[in-house]
Amino acid sequence: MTNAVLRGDLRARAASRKIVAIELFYLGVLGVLAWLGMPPELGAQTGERTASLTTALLVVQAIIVTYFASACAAQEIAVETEKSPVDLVFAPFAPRSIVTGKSFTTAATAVYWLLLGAPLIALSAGIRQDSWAGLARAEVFIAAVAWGMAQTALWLATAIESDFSRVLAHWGWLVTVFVATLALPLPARAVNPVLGIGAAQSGTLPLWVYALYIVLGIASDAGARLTLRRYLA
Amino acid sequence: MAVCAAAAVGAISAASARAAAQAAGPRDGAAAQSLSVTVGFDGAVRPGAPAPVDVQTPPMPADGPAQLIIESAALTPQTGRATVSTVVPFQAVAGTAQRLRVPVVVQDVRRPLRVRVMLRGRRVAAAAVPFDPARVAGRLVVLVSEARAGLGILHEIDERAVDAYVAAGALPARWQEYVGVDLVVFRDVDPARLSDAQRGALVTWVRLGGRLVVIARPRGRPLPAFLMPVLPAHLGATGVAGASGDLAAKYGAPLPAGPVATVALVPRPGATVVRAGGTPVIAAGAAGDGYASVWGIDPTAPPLAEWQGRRRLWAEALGSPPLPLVEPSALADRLSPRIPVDRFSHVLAGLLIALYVGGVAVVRRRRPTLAGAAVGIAAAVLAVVAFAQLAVSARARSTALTQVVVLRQARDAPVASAVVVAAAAVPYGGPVAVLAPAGSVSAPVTMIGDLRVEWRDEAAALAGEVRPDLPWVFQALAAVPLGTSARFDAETETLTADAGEAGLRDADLWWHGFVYALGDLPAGRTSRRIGPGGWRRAAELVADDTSTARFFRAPDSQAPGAITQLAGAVLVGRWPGRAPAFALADRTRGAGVREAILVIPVDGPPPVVPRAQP
Repeated sequence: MTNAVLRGDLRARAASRKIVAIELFYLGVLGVLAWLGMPPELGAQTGERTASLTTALLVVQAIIVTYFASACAAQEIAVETEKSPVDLVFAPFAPRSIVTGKSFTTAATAVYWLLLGAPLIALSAGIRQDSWAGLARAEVFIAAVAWGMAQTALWLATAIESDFSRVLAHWGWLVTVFVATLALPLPARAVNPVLGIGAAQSGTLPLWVYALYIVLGIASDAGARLTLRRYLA
Repeated sequence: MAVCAAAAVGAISAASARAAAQAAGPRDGAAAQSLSVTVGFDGAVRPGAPAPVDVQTPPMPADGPAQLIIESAALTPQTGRATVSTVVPFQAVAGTAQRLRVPVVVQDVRRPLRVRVMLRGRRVAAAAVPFDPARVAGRLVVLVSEARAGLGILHEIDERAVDAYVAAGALPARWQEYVGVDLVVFRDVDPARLSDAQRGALVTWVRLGGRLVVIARPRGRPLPAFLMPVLPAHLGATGVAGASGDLAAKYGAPLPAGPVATVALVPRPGATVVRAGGTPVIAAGAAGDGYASVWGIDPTAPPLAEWQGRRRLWAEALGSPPLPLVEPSALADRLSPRIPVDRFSHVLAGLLIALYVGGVAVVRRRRPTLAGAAVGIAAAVLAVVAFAQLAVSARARSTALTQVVVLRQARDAPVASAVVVAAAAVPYGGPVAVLAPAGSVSAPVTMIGDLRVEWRDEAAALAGEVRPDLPWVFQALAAVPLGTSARFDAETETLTADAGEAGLRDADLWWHGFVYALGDLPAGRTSRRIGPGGWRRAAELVADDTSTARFFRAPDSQAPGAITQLAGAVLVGRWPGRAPAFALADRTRGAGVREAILVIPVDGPPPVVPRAQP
């Protein structure tokens, strides 16, 4: 960990009470859903239903991980002792170092949260004998979505000074990606994370959708670097 | 491999085999070599019945574990179409062609059977075998002979009848492969060309209800010795029949002019005999639940090949289509599979979830450092293993296999047929695998998706994806050695039964739509007086969903089924002895319900029942 921003942010998040509270909320929700999902599904509509409870659990996991990862990146949730990108640019750190450090912090946080949730997903998937390969694909997709969305939030954190405007833009972006994309025609609708998780599980999600969220994250990083440079100009 | 009679039947040099393999390219695609595949009897199949499939591979390109995969199409009510894949593992030997036989239940004859041979995951040979509509049999007669002629008249007897001509070596080694056959005719067969398994299969099939005709030709071969226990006569001297009035009167047409070569028969006591000029030339009689005949005349060859009376002769030999005692689909409807709810696993899961979340919280609060986070990761990894184990255990505890076995004792023969119907219910849905009883041939009763039938040493393992709301129902057909019997004495109005070593529980005497309750019968011989009172209508009993009689309801009906139309009385009860059964492949413990019912034919005159019909 040669990047000082990454080192500082990881220490800040490890010590943060807010992050611990987020993790307990996240595990609590997943735990309750996994436990309530244990009884057999024997309703009249069971035969017609195509998505399993494991998929539903993965969707909840994706929503929570994506929201909290991007909210932390957008400074919507201020983690104790964690400096914002704009503060760091006057520290002074190079914009590239800041963005790289923040980016890896977000990736590490998202992966850590996915790991914490894995036992509860394993309980639901194991009892229904869902494919482990499908689960792995879905988790990779969630990680890509959470990171890509959080990098966009990082860019918003550098580009919008007003807290209210930034939160509004952040929520607007989340709603756009999670809800508005459902209105897209096929095959573009595949970019919707909720639909994408089911497709990733079944192995039918095109690779370009994974790539799209990675490219979104890289582009957002580039935008954040450019914005931070303007502060130095 | 005993179950599929897999055997290497030929070999070419290793060098030439490798050359062939390189030319063909042992990989997926159009380059795969073709196979020699024979389906059914001389290409004739009966939909829904096990058909023998004989595959001869090309010389295998290398040593190693190989698989023969046979895919047959089936229709499903939910998904429209599904595939049943029959898989036979075998050990390939480089440069050697191998012959494999396996029974396959053909459901949809409109789609070809797809056969491929895989070696180490790569396809080395493939073939698609379409079914000839003219060879799809409503009734199937198999003539075992070197000559391929003589059964043309069957189409006049029954337009659905299909004739098949096979050599002795092509006969099945499993009696279940004869299930779709209505009549087997032996003519001049060299018994040395049949293996012990083939001989046993034929005799077992006859004893369990098959019909057999052995044609003894003048100066032909003697009757096969292995068939003598079921044949109603042995051979006498060769002779010549003139214009026999007996045969003409019996079969409604005069014999052709000129001498007819015959073989005089020496019938066994009780056999039905037809004479020509005073000489017995046809003898027939029951053999277990089956029927066997010996003909000392040959209506498949001149001059009797043009005899008009052969039509009635063949019609008698063919008989009426047998009425199955129980329908697997009706048994499946009566099973009422139970889906247990595993409360223990639910409580344990709740505790473990609370422990895990609480543990992560404690670690993260007490060690607010990167090391604390690392401990959280370690806890997550351990929890994944624990929760996965819990999930497997909960699934196993919640999976239920409900099954019923109906054993039918063959009359005067030490064997019983066993129809096993099992419903596998997995409340969470997903994959399920069951092991069929040893020595059985199994198939799905209801198709709800693709099914894989993999042959192992003595039985098949059936695997597929089950829906949470729908049990998967399988059936198996097996034969078990059993020597029970019953006899009714009309004078003393006494039923004497030998219920074998296990006895019979809740036994009932069934006759003509009426049932007489006998209670438990102990092991060994026992007698019970059958009084004039005490008879109940079978219709009342079969409507009771707690009674074993419910399995004898007619399909889609509340009325009694074929059991009321049997030619004789039967003794029916719960069988506490060992009976073939399905087993869950990965089951170490858990729910399983099995009912075994034994049906014993009652010899002697039928008892007197109330005159009013049910």
